[in-house]
Amino acid sequence: MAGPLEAGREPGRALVEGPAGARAGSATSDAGEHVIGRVLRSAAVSSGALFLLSVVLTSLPGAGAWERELFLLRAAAASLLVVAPVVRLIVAGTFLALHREWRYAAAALGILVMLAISVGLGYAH
Amino acid sequence: MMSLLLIGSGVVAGGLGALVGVGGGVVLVPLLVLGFGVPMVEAVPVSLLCVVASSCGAAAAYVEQGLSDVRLAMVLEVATVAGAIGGGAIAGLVAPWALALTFGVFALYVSVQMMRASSIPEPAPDPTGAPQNVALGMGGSFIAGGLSALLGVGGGPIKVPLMRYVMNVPFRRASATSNLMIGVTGAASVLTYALAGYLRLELAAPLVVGVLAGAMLGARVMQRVSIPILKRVLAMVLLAVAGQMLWKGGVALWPVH
Repeated sequence: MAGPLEAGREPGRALVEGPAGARAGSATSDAGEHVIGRVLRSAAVSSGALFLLSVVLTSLPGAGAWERELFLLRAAAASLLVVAPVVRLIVAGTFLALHREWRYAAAALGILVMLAISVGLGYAH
Repeated sequence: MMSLLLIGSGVVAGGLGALVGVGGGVVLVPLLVLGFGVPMVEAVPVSLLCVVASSCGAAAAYVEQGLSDVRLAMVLEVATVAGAIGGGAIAGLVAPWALALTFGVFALYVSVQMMRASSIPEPAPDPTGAPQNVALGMGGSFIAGGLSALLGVGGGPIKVPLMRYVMNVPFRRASATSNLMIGVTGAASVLTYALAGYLRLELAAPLVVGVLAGAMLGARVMQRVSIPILKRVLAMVLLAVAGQMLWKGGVALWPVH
């Protein structure tokens, strides 16, 4: 069964490669994957460092006095993690749109809208 | 001591999630509930945050290596999120125990098949690298999203076999693409729980530290682990999912007094 993904793909070219197999945009594609990788890695490392700091601070004597600061530290770490996949979608959608891959750019936008709806309705579990 | 145990548990869950694309929640929820005495209502959101952490930690490497298929992930995510909304909408109309039992039997079947197939050499992927049966894959992802909303099983244990055996995506690529996808739906779910006040950040902190370390380590070694071993690991994860679902369905059907 043929699907929308078959045209012009090759293994290892994950993001975009241009309509009908054109390779002119491979630099854009590589840049897109590079940016996505950096977004995810930055969020993971920053969040991990903040969570680790909170674990270390919690183990110190008198940590009870910093409850509010510790909460803010953990909240910032969790926010970084939660925002990262959404930013990843926006970055991927933007690169696909720049590459005139409207179908996939629209898919990214559709996912963002549906996620907003699902969070709003409390259906995301 | 408790923090070290949680970090260690996170390393195992994160490594497992990165290797087979399931996020690690399937390990963490029973571990938190049975091992650490955390109530289910608090274990699930913490586990979901760990799934997001596992996804970010592992997918960063997989995307840069060109192993995750960003375009395929986008297409399947549309179906998964639509399925999750649909599942949430019909939650009051279906008996969760019946769904849990049905899915438990299905997961058990897939687990046994995957274990049996682990020693059989991988069939050659399509020479163009194109996924096959995309419409069927989207249908399966829609169901995975619905089950995720109705049963809280997460999409990874369904989508990796789906991509491998229905869409003919090579195993490592399927696992890496699943790792990328689970972050998005996990983040939406975490946000929902956090807004409702169920996310215990002091419990999540040491776990996430461990999960991130495990996921980054798992992403580094995944290319070196043989596919039969990866398949056996996924089969064991599916067995754990089947056990949880059959237990969930059985307890609801015959409540313990």
